[in-house]
Amino acid sequence: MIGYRTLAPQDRSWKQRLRLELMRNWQLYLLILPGVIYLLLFRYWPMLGIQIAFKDFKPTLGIWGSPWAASRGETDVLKHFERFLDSKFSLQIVSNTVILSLYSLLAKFPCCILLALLMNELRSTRYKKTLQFVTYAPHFISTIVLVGIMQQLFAAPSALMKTGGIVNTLVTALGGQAVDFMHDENTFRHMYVWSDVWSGMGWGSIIYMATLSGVDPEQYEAASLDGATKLQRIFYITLPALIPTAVTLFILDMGSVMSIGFEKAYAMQNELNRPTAQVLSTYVYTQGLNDGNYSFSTAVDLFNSLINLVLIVAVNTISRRVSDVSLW
Amino acid sequence: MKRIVSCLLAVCIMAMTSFTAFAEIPRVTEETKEFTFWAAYNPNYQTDWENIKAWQYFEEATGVHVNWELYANSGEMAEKLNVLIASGDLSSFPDAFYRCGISASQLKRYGPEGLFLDIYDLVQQYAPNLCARMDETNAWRVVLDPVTNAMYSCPDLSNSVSARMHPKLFLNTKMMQAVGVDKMPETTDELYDLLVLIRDQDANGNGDATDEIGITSNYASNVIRAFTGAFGIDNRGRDDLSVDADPADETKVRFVYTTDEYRSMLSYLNRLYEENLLDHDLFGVNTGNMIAKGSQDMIFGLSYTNIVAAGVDEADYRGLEVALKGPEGHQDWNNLSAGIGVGSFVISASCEDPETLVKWIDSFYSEEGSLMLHFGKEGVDFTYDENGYPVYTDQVLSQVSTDNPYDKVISAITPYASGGLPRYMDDKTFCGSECRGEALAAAQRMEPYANEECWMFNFTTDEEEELSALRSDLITNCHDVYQAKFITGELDVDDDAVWNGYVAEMEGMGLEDYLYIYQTALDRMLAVE
Repeated sequence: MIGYRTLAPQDRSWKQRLRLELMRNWQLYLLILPGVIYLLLFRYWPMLGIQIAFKDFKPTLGIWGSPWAASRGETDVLKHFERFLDSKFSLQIVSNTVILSLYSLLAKFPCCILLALLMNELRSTRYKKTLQFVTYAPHFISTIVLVGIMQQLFAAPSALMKTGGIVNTLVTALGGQAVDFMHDENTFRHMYVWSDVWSGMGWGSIIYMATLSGVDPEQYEAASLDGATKLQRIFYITLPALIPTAVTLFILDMGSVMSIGFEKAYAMQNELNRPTAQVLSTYVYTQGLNDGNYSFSTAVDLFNSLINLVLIVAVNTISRRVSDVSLW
Repeated sequence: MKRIVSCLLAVCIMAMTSFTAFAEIPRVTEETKEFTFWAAYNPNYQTDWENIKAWQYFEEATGVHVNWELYANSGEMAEKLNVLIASGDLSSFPDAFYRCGISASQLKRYGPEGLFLDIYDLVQQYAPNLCARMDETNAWRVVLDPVTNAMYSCPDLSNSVSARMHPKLFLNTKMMQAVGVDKMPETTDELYDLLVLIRDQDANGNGDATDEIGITSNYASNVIRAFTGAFGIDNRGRDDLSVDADPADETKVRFVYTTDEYRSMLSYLNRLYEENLLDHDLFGVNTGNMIAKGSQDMIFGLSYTNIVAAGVDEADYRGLEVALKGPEGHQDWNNLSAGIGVGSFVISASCEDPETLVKWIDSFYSEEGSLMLHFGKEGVDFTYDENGYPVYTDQVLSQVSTDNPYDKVISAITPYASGGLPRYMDDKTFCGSECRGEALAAAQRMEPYANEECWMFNFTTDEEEELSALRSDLITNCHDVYQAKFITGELDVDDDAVWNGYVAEMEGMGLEDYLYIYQTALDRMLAVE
């Protein structure tokens, strides 16, 4: 073994190379070791639990001891997937989830960038900081409180509120007809998405602001010397600086397209808007967790993740072909 | 000499009175035994659970000391329970679960898996009171597991017509007088006319003729159920609203939501809703805004189990004289529940001394035990009124005020607030607001029209799994949406094309399988009787 260090790199065996690598950089490896252990223990090991989607999970037998899924005596590992797909509403539910997420993504995304661009043009730092604070404060309002606020603002006329909430009062005062925003299946998506934009816009713009602060001010000066208008400067300098970050974030968001948060949809759901408000997470909640059907809810979630995976791979590939930015 | 005798007599009498209060509740164990229970408490009323008097009395009488592990009943309990069950780790289970909201399906699923103890034999041997009560209320077929006949829980038995009847329809008599009507409506048409008068005139005398609300509650379902009897549906009670008995053959189930009678009811409700005779916010009501409306004297008709929950003055309201008669002549009040709740007391498989626990829980089902659980000690906490009904003493009742509501005051004595306890109760041993005053009177008037039989289905775990999927499609995602749209008028229930389309959609969603499962369960139930 001694003397392998004097060998030319291509003559060393892989064991020797490994040993050399560890000896040279052991501090670095030690540094990342806790992280790797964490990943293995809390992210990779639990993945094995996904098998309960193909089993009839019984808590007393645990994940490994539970029997494979069976219906009426015969083993049928795809039982839970079939149960989901057999439902007459599975298509409606999946489409609700996809539409809501895509709408949410496509509405929020440009708003964040726009906000970052606008704030970047401000001169006064104090004003900029105040504005930043004001815009990202709504991010901290809990979902339930937000829905409660919406229910008050957008309330339809009722015994307790003769002309309804503020919005309906204004609408009727201006001569229009009051709309039951919170109970109409057609308004649900818009209510959901734009309240999401309102609360998440400021927070989402932070990362763009950070990127923009790294843009060389000399570029702006050079551009204005060349006679570029403000708009042209934004278009040719600021936006290109943002594109790498924006595309990366977009791809990542695409990956979570199917995981619409449960809380908000559940809080806003009622009998009248259920056709558009029933999303995968609320469906799984009432079906799976309420009745303790862990296997079923895992199966639906797995299905969910599969679609997510397909989407993220697709977007990443497209992005790699079209521009130079991609996750891998 | 006289003094000594009288002293001795006084001492004897005192000893006897303190003795007799517990004399009928047998001591369960020689030396004090300790057990650990999980229990769900009501955070509004029961902030001091461990010091509730009932527990102290029972500990003195039976010798069982309970260490309580408490969780709020508003969701915290369900979460903790699910986590505990999913862990499957019996060593971390408490000795028993007291009023933890364990559902029938959880019992049937986890009982056979070995998490909960089958106490059937122990109950037969050591719990005579419980057995007697279950015979009385015909509860065996509901409590026992349909496949194995195992018994995994002790039930919450209610033999009080008033407590089982939900809702009753209360009308504001003051408003009725203000519009010149002094007779209670007896048919659905009379009710309609009355509601029109209320809507158009200033019935509550505040100068505003538009703020009276015809009929409201804290759930849309409560308002709808006030009319099921008048249209001849749900003739087997309110435990399962989707099926009842086919009038042509009472051993067969009928799916309520596609019948013509149901359609007539929807049509009637739609008429009421569109003419602004029902609460226009019917599908957005909740307890909070019900109380707000009540406090502003806006409520004419309240469809609920009692009056006081809406924050109104009980003296202004009166329940119906007779059940409403519908257009086809049906005159029923189909709002009785079987009054049997399962899962209120469950002993876990890891309990080391289930025998003592069974004996302990049996003491709650005797008359003395029921009285002590709900009222405490005679003379100290309650006395008997002229009708022989127990009432709390003035000392207790004087603590009731607007900040300290009735339910909170009596929660210092009894743990019943929010129900769900393992116990037997009837009007003589229970004093919730739904069993006194106008609520009781209204229930007694409706009793002749109430459904005689109450169907409470007991499904096997396989049936439940299938049913759960079917229910999600048929009921949650289809029927509930249609019902809301028919009532609000978004869809026209009188249009044959729309109605037939709805029925066809329901039938295409597995209605046949749904009914097949119910019929199997019904056959099983009828075979036992």
